[in-house]
Amino acid sequence: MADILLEDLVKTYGDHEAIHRISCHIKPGEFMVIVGPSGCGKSTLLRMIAGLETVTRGNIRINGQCVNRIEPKDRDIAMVFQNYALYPHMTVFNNMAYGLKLRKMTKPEIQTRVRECADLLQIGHLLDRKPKELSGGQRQRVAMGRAIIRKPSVFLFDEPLSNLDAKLRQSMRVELKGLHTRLKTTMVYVTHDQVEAMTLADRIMVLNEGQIEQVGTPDVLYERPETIFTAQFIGSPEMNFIKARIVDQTLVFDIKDQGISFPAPDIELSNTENLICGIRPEHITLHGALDSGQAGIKGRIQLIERLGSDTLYYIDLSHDRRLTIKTHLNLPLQIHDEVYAGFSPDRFHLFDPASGKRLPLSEKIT
Amino acid sequence: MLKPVHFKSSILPYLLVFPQIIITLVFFIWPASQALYQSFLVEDAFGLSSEFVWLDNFTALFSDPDYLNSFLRTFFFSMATASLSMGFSLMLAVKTDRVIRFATPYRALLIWPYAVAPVVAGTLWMFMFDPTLGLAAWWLKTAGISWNHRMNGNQAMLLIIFAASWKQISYNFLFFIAGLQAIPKSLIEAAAIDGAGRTRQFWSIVFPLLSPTTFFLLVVNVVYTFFDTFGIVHAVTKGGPAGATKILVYKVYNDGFIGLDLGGSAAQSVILMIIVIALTIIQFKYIERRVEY
Repeated sequence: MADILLEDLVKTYGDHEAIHRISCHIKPGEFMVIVGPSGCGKSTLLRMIAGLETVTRGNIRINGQCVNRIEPKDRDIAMVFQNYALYPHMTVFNNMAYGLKLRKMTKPEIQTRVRECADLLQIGHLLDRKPKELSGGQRQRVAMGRAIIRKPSVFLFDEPLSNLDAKLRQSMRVELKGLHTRLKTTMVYVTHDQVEAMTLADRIMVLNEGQIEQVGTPDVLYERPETIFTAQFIGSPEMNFIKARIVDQTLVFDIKDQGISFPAPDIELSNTENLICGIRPEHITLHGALDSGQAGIKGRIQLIERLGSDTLYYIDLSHDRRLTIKTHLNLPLQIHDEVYAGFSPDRFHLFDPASGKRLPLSEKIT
Repeated sequence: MLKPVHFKSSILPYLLVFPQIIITLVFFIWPASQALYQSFLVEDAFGLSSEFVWLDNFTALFSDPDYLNSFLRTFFFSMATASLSMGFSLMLAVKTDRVIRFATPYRALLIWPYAVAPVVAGTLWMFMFDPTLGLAAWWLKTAGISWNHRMNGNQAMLLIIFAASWKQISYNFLFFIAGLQAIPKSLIEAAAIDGAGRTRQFWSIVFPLLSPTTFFLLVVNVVYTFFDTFGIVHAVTKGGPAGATKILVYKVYNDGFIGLDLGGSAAQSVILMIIVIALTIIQFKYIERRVEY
């Protein structure tokens, strides 16, 4: 087990700065997931930890030791690549044994290690095969086997599940989590898939354009996103964003012809005219008609997606505004029906559109 | 699979392949069949009459120690040239693959020698190593090595091996560069993380993965040394001294056009033809079931 400390890490390619001053402490035994859209620098960051990319400025410390100038092989890490990177001319056995042979282990030792590891990953029957004779899921397991067999102090994963089909990805995800619980080794896992991030991580680092948006546990990221970017990125379907303003202690949605207001938080804001209110689709209720005294926004159902357990309603609010609502209730509604959306203000997230930051006291809305 | 294309008129497709067929007939089928026919004939010394002798020319060849000697010499020349040229170009390819700045100009420069005709390449090397005029020969002399490929058969052989290899380096280099670039970078990175140093990475990962390219080039190089090196030998040594560099293809010319033994020369060229056909078949067979990584 080792901890990884990133100190003001910068990476530039020519004039282009890909990573801007990233600092983070990954604790021993932690499962850290780095998530972000493609091109945000997450793979670069991982490759810098692995030693496959040089560090322009700043330090990487593994177990306290600065590894900036240390070769990948001497960093006591193992990495699983997106395309698996299995040696095509070697059998599964030799793929797994390669690293051990290079570390001058004896033959019987290698034999037992490979056996052990193959049993753990249930690939014992594949040891004599070449990678091209394996299915995607099997290759994935071999790639993982090649990493864990050396018992390194840090595992690095570069989108390891993105080449698998949805079902296999789900089951590998569960296995990976199980593996982490058993091995208790520090893992750094890069993905663009927020579901993978939420399900696997102890903590998530949300990366956008080479900068950290937020680092936190999946719960914190979901309940208390610090920026619009994080709010948008975490959660599926995406959070709804509605323009709003505060007038006379009330929060008013900026939707034409529809007056709806909520008690506003008692905060000093320099700008009360221009706010963004984020509401997750699962926190909006849907009604065919409004009861007396209930407030709601009127709209029309544009599209219904039935996922079995849940149903997604896409509501057209006129003037090109749209709402996504997720509910597990089976409502007798159809496309083009007129409906009302109901809100609970304690689920609102308020953001300042200029800075993209969460407004400090927005959780105090009652 | 290629899609079959349908022509409306039935003459057009034949018209389209006509030029190629004519070229093949005139420059390949006709001379080849002439050679085959000639190889069964013995002509009298004045070229006035010829006699059909079946396989006598061939049996004569295989009982001729001079011919068998030439065979061995060719084999040695071929192996030496192929390994020297391929080894050197592989080294260059690996080196340029690591270069990031100016990689394209480097590669373009390395490809130039391929545009040089064999005779010109041969002449170039002949001048450099000329015992009286050559710069390289002078350098060797100052280093205490007496160089005279016109007297020393081994030096003559060495010189044509160098000239022939130099000419082929570009071609091999090009294929090796392509082969290297087809190897996913992540494999090398995985090996680096697994603990392999540069040398180890090359021998345990890169070299095995290049083996299809290496095999292809081996066949191409052997074919080249067997058939395309006439110009070099002719320009540098003319088969000498004392037949030390008389490789098969040069002997065909020497026996036929200098020695005027048309039948014997034709029989030799038929044997060469059989060798190239065999090599081509091996090549095609291999490429068909080539291991795809």
